[in-house]
Amino acid sequence: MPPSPAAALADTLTVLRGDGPVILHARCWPRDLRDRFAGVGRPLESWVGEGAAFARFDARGEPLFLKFIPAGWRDRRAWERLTREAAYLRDLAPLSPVPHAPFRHAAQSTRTPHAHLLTRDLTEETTGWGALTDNTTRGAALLEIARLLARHHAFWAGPGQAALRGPWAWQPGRVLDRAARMHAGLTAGSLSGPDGRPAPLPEPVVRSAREAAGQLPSLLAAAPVTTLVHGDIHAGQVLWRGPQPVLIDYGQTHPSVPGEDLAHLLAVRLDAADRARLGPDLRAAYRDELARGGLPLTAVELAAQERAGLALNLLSVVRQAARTPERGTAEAALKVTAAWQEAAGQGP
Amino acid sequence: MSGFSGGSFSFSRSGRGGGLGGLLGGRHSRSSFSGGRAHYGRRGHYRQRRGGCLGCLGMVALVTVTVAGGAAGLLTLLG
Repeated sequence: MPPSPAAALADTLTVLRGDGPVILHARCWPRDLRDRFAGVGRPLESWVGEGAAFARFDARGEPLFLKFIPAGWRDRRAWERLTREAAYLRDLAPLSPVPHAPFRHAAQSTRTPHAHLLTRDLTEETTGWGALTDNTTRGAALLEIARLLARHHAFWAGPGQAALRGPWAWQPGRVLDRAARMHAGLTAGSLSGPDGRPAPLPEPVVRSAREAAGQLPSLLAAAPVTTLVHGDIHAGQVLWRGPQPVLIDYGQTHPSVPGEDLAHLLAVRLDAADRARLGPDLRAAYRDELARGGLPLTAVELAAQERAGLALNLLSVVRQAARTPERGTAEAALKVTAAWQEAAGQGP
Repeated sequence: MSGFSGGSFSFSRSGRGGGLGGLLGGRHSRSSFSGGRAHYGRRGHYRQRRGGCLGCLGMVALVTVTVAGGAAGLLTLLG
């Protein structure tokens, strides 16, 4: 969403006045926060991403990572992601054995959809996916990521489950209601696009999403284990402290079936050739680590998890493709559709 | 529901090592799901940048220039 001139002007005045409590600009923090994090100077690095802006700081030796919704933005979804991530890192992440970037501070505005999150900056003490130099190390790293997800899932399905209350509690009724509405829309033709007219979704995508929405009740019934999923696992979401993976960016975390992350990794983040080559080992590593974490699943139970998770991913990406019809989302919808058809034995 | 903010797990197709091929091919690439550009920066960390946007300061500058230009034009007409 491009910034509107009026919103940008109003927010800029807020920034210049130094009003709080939310950071709207990487270089101009509210007075209270400047006092609280004395020594924060100019950002070491800053950039604006698709769903938030980012900056890194050195606060007298303490590395800080800032994620915020910049002045001028009025993006309710970005606000929801950021406030959800802040709540997870503050309230839940310290309970989990999965390494993460520790929470330092967060605030949100009640007038406009602005929020910020400060965590420890791990940039200098970790490396990213881009530092992996060959396919052998990338393959090994991917196995570690599957194990990392398994540890995350096993914890929140087991010892951590009692802490999952309110918005963190699994509510299948809401998921099924949403799928039923989507099924009705797809049966009537297509989903509404951003202009209210039917979104131009390809026929195979519409057909597969309709199948997934229709089958979701039985798929979820066959996958009764639930947990807290990361919701957006990709190459940028895992940092490496030596061999140890650190899971970051919890803006999409939500209660679901563990298979949602597994299917996301396999069907959304790998192409078909890599999925065929790496899938069996990834599933085995994931399943072994789940068992080590106290959540043993049979091969049949894991397959049911992955199928239910694939349906959830398909519905999610098709919704996004309808809402924001651009090349990237359209390609993603086709890709997950192909994975859905492949799993159903309908692939090319 | 899951999100889609780019960053597929890339595997080199060339077999020459060090490549960032696959779906995130090259040092700079279109992200998988959005209009932004993604690349691996310092220490191999993933960075996705928003594309095609003036940003806040650009927008404020644009508004300032428009308002100042309008005021100058009005003064010229009145003068």
